[in-house]
Amino acid sequence: MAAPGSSDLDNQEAYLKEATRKVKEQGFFMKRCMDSSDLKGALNHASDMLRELRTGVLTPRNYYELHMKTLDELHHLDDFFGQLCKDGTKTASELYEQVQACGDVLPRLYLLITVGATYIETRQAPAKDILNDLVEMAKGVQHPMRGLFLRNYLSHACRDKLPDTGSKFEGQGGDVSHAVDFVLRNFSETNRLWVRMQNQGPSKERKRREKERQDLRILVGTNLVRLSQLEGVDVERYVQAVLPKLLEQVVNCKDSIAQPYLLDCIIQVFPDEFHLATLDSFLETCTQLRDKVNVRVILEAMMKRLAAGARDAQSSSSGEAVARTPPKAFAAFNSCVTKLLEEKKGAIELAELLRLQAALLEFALECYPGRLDYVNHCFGTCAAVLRQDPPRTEPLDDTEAEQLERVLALPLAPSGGLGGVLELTLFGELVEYLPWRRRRDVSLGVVRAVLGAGEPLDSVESVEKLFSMIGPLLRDGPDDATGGQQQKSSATSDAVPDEATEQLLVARLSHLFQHDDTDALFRIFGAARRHFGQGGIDRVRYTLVPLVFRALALARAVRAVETKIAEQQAEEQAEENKKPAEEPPPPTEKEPAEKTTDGEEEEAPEEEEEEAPAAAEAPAATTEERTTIKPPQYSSRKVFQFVHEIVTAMAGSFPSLSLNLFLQCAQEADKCGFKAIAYEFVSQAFIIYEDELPDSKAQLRALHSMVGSLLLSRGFDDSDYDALATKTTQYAAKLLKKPDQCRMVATCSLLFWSDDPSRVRDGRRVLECLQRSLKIADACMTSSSPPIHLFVEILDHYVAHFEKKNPMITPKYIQGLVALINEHIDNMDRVDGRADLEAHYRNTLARIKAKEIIPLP
Amino acid sequence: MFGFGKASDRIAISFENEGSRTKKALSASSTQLPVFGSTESVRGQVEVRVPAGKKVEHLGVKIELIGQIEMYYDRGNFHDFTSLVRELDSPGVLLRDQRYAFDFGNVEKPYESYNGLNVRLRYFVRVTVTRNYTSGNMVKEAEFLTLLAQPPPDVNNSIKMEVGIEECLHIEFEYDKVKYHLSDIIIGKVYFLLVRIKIKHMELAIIRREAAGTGAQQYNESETVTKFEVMDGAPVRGECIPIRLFLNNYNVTPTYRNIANKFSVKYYLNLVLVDQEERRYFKQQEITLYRAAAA
Repeated sequence: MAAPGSSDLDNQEAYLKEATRKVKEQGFFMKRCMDSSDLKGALNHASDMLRELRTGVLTPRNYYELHMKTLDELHHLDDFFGQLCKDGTKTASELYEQVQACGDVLPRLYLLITVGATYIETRQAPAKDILNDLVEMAKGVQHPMRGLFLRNYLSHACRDKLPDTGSKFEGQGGDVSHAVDFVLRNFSETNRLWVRMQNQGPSKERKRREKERQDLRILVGTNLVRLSQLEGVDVERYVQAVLPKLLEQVVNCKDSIAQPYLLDCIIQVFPDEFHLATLDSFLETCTQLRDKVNVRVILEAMMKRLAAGARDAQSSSSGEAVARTPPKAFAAFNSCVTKLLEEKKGAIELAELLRLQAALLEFALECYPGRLDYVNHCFGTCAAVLRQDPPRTEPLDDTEAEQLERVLALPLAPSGGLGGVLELTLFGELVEYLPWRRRRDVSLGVVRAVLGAGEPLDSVESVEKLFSMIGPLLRDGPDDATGGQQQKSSATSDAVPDEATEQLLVARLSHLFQHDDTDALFRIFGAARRHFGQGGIDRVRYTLVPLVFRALALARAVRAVETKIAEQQAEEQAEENKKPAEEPPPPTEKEPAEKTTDGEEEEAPEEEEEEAPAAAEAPAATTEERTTIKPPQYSSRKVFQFVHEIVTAMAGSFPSLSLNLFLQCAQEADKCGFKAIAYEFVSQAFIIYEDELPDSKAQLRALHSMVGSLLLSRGFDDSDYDALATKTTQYAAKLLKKPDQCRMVATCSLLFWSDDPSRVRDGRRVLECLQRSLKIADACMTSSSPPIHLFVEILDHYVAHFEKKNPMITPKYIQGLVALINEHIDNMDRVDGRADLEAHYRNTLARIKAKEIIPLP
Repeated sequence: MFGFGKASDRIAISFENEGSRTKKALSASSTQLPVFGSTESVRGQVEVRVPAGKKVEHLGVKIELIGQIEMYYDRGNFHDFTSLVRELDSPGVLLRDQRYAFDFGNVEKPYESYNGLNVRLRYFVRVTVTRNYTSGNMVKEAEFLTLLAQPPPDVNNSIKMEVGIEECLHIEFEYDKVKYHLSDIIIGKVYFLLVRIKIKHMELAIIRREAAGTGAQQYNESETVTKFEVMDGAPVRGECIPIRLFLNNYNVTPTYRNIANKFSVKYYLNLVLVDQEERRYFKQQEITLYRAAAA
């Protein structure tokens, strides 16, 4: 029965076929003997059949096949024995003795097991005794593979013959402890055989043997399944009698294939509550395994299992206590991991350690949602591992970095439900270990988590913390700095939208800045600007824009407070004037009290000086405040100044954007009643227009915005307004394309006739604009097709101004224009858009007719 | 030759209660014979048939009971350790079938019947109708068996031994007794203390050794009664392999020590380990077999 050599391997098929044939043949003879009640003959043929299993030639898979075929036949013998015992031809004990006459140990034991099962079934002898005998006698087969299959048959044949709790064999036949003992013994012997395979045969065939062992491992694992199926094994018995034996076997077998497999089986086959009750000893075992064994996989499996259990428990029974996982489970895992770290420091790769922490972290997140301390703890362990002594010189390799990234990303997953990402103190430090590219990914995760949680960022500290976590999104990294630019250009189209998406996400953070106190909010904005500002041109175009709008909203809010204070003061003043001596205000008491209640105010004393002029400008009083409204430390002017700085900084790189922002600011300032500031903003916009906006299309768009902003303004002095409106009209007249000029100048006419009768109403200038526009249109006539559409549009303006009751716009202009259009429209080429144009014109005429501006045919 | 003739089919011998008497065969190939106890009387009937119309003149009819040891190498030389004679009839003429009863009361049968390789020990009764020289004697023999039950031994220790080859193989084995009755079970264990050879299997053999004759004329013959495989494959250190062998499956006799100074039969258990190169490592231990009184 030598180990199969390579030549034997070629003959596997043939050998298996021949052996199967013999098994069938002997099985047939056996059955014939059974039919004629010839016990002796049946046993002889059965033995001959079973002798085929003595082969050492077959590979495990083929042997398995032969084994199954043989068992199919052997099954008939089962019934036969049962029948013999039933009709009293033979007693079970006689049969039990008789089959042992077989001279070969392997067939003898197969027969013995077969009869043994019948014997137990008759209950003529205690099940425990027979089981005990069988499991002991089976030691006669020491050949690993044959032994494994024999014991598997033993386990299979007796699976329903065990004196388990509730079984009919309980009582006289023993109790569950005997059942457990039987399975455990069989398991232990099976495992020993399996482990032994490793060391038998030449070392060059080691690889093949290991593969064969993997093929056979299920034969060992089945025993654990049997154990888990025993009714009588409850938590207590598992703790006392079952697991210690299993673990002892695991540790003592000292086999690096068996240890992880068995532990994994244990994890999978027994229920969670058993695991929770024995976690300590299980984990203790995990620290005693061979160095080659990947403990991480085992721990991970256990954690996954418990985590899944916790998840199921939560989803299935919401009423039951959610915290089914005892708090000590984390501690147990953790101490196990710590121990591994200590004992096998050199033996475990960094990537594995990190993966282990990732698993632990996942477990913690799953079982103890919201326990940030656990997350921080895991981070701490990672940090400790990474801060090794002496410090590593080379950066993390790819797998290590990947694992670390996973560790960092886990708490950010939406299922983690972790709003308090910012409480993860070590996050920043860990991120540092990652290569820049991965840091960006992690940062992105953080941003998504923060946005997803939607919790407001309400202090400078939290903003600082967050920004320190997402640094890679806010600025270029070391590797970007060198090759970044060219990389970006070479990466072309797909990198750019990526970047844009990222930055848009970052930009969204601005909307999370919230604080009821305007000063605090302003400080937050300040911090945000500082960080955003480091991002360079490509980032600020995304990130600063929302901040500008938030700041403008803040300015409005501050302004509202200021107005309220002013009103209050006015009242007070009035009251004070009435009864001057009454109730002296106690400012010295009040102010410190407020300072202590509001932490944000701590910096206040230093900024007091700065505040004074601003406050003086604002129509609010300072120290005499005694109501609940406190004057904001940062006035609305200050906020505008802040915005001004931001936009100015962007002006050079993004003229259109900045121009629009300036106009936006101007509108806001105007609403707040700051004429001067509004003027400044508008003039800034105009400067950009002049200096930075060479593109004619952009100019056109800018002019529209400028006109719109001016039209919306309320607070300008007339002279200022005039200057701005005039300037705008000049810009319009200087546009490159004639049609643009024409249209824009016509539009500018709106600037000089406000809907508000108290504001500018300069009919003459309106007329000038329109006539200028008309002149420009005329100049276009020289081109091939007459610009009738321009005439129609100008006509619209005339009509509009006429309706606004501009005295300078008389029907005669309209009349003239209509005549002009009529003259040309019939001669017009059949160009595209003629139908549209005609429709447009008809509508205008209809309007004119309806309003009876001029008589029309 | 005087006194001897060829077995006659005209004489029939039957033992008392032969139908109901226990019968046994010494080996599978031999015929079943009635069994008599050690001091049991041997009784029966002899019938001499005379064909119709004929007569048999004789010089007397006698019956002998003989216990005899026969060496196969020494044909014709028998050692009778027991020989008893009874006269059944005085000389005369038989005209028709004649029956005689015989009775060897309380006859001593000191040894067991045995059928070995070089020797056999048998018991038989022989009827001789003596006639004149020309007619020749009529002779008929009838064999029977004697099996001697022995009391269980007072002392029956186990056999325990440690054997080995240095740095190669060390085992310790144990058989539960040294004396077994014929349908006993041999229960034992083999502990492997050191295994450095690649063992293929292990078997337990029962060996019978027969020594016949004495001195220069002694013939020793060994015979393996059975080979019983007790282990398949190679054990590792610390392994303990159980042995259980049911003796009544095999054709064994009790141990005979120096029967009438003529022969001995001894039994040995031979534990054999076979390695992958078919080398055999073995250790023999004598055991004593005895016949227990039937329960």
